[in-house]
Amino acid sequence: MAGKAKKKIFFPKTRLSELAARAGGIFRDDALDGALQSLESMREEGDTEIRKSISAMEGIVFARHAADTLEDAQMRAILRHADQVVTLAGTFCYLALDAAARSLCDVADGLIRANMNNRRPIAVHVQTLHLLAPGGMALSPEHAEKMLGELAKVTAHFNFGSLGATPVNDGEDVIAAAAK
Amino acid sequence: MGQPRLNLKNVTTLLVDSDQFTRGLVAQMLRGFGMDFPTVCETGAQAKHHLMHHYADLCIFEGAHPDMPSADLIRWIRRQEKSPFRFVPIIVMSGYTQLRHIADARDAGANIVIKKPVSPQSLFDRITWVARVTRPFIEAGDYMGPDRRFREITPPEGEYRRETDDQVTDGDKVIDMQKSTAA
Repeated sequence: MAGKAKKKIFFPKTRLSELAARAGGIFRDDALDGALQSLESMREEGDTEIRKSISAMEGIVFARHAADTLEDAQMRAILRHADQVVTLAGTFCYLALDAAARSLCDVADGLIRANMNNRRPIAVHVQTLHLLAPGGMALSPEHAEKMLGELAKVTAHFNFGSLGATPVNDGEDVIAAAAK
Repeated sequence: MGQPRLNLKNVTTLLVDSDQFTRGLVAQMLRGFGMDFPTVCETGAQAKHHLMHHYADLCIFEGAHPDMPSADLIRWIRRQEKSPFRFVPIIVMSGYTQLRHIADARDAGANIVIKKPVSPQSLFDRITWVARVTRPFIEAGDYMGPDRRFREITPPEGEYRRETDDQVTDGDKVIDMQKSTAA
């Protein structure tokens, strides 16, 4: 018979805790203001990165001799670039672009898992990203909403789950309360 | 009541992310919090090399590195019994397509997992959390890492909630609470 699993409990003191508890320092509001200003200074560079990622995806799906089915490596590249667009669009608050990029991630991930790798649903998403990208056409919110609705139909057709539904469960409420 | 201050000056941070622009974004946020510029690495192997030769007070990792999953790097850190960085606070930033791997990162011993895009608010609150709230570390079977039950206090001294809590350490000192029973 197996014995009870041996367990050890440690109460480590970290240097981060010691340093953070020193006198002085920064208030939360000031820290957030400082960080937001720093981020805002990177918006232009962020827009360039978004456009680069979209161009890279266009290079894959609209290549002259692109087949109806993409290679596995191409699908993984799409996923990587789309993930980058999600990160940047979310950071700089491009809400419609963020939603379209998440939809692309869901479809690409679902296609990879289903071993389908169809080019067309990817292409339609990449075209939408191009239209929603910063510095592109100035679309009305209604128009953007309509395009996102069309993407939702594509996603619904394949019936893939959303990656965003994965729970993180990191004690968000407790953390936010402790920080204030 | 006024807000508490957090002094992050001179905190050394190891930031591991394969994407240069994302590293820049996070570094800018940390600067806004009053922290110094972090040491940056692109791969898990570079991070291991850095930790073996330098110290870090805080580690911030992306969900998956080009050469290994983040969980492997975290597990390696938590298993370094003789190293000062064994208990280093680790925050994992998971990209949208890496969300399926977050359970692995948590099971490997990460302190906190955050979804990208990471806002200054969520990053600051989580750094505050790992700096202020002392969570005990549990070593049991395959797991070595912070107690994953979220709460604002540590267990009262001398009281332990699980039957299997047979050893407790305070700093480097190990206290035997009860002998493990071999049946």
